[in-house]
Amino acid sequence: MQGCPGSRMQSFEKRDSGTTEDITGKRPSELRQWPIQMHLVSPQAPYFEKSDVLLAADCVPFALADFHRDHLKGNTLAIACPKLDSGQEIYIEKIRALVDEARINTLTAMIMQVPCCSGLLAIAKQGLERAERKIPLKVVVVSLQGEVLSEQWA
Amino acid sequence: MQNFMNMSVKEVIEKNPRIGEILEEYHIGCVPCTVATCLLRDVVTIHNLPGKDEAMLMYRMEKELYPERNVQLREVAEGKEKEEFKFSPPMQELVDEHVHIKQLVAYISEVLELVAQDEDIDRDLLFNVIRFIREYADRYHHAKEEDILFEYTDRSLEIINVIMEDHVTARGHIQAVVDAIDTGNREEIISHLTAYQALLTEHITKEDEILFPWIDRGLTTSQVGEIYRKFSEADAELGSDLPRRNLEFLRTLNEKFASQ
Repeated sequence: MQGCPGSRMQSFEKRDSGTTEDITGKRPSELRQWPIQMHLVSPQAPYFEKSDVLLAADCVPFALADFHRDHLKGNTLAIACPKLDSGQEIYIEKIRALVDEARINTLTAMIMQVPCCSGLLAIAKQGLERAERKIPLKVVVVSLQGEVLSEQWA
Repeated sequence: MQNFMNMSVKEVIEKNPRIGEILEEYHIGCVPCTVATCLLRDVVTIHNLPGKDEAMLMYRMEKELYPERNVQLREVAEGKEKEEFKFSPPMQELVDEHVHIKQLVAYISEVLELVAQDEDIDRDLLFNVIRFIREYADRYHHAKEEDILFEYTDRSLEIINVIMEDHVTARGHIQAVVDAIDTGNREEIISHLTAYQALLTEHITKEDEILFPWIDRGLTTSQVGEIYRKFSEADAELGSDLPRRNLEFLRTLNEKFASQ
């Protein structure tokens, strides 16, 4: 099948998770803020101050079954789509402001494995380059079937 | 096996030198270590061997220690193989500083040749070497390890004690060199700088290849951010002039000895 890997149709076989853990229990949301969309978030919001920020591509939380427990917990969040969102220059400036003004502790970019998603990492890097402060940047790449393919410091 | 795992690696090797040889085969270099008081259990964990290698190492050591037992090789699930490791930014900063310290340490051989050959000891050269060691290697670099990084570890661990002891021993050698320069005692200068060179070479290898990857694997993302910030604050407190003048001296050493 040809075409863009980011929008190509695929269906996944239902997989046995191999565990019954938590199937019957309700899990609490780990989200501690609102809004979360990158155009709507304000770097001046108090919850961002000195926090560890997760910059997740829109598709990531749908792909990762345990996104809340394993990745969102303890972090603040901003989401964006590098393929479809307009005005991405604003995103770069907001990341700069998060680093310099909210003095965030770390930035973790969580992206899908599809090539267009690496645009979000590029946005994160540009924002960090523009900032006067330096902070660590981590990159987590998620497969379409919800596995963490890599988790590395940039 | 558990008894031996909780003994210091030195004791185990003394009881059975074959254990030292087996560890060497897995590039676990405890035999030449000057202290070697780490527990065997920690030594195995810290080296983060691929699952199958670790199982085989444990099997061979247990066979060696308890030849009468019917020792079984532990099964390892597929997939627990050694992953490519990339340091976190603050840990990479320490490793990058090691590159400069290793350059200076390597030049000690050339410096000592001059000390041995020249009619008059080049005190300025020696004091600049001492200044680099005290300012860059110790105040700028080791202070970040001791005051910041090790706070994120269990300080009672033997491996941390070994590293701290190395720092103290290194400082002792450098003080002895300063005293020997004052009295013009060439033999003492050569003896203590040679000892410092050997100590730091082994010390940096231990940190780069074993200690730092092990600490790094245990840090949370948030802790990495905290350590990075604290390193930046520590560097800012000392000022940019300290690394600048010492790295400049390193460049002059490079020019001096490269042209010879």
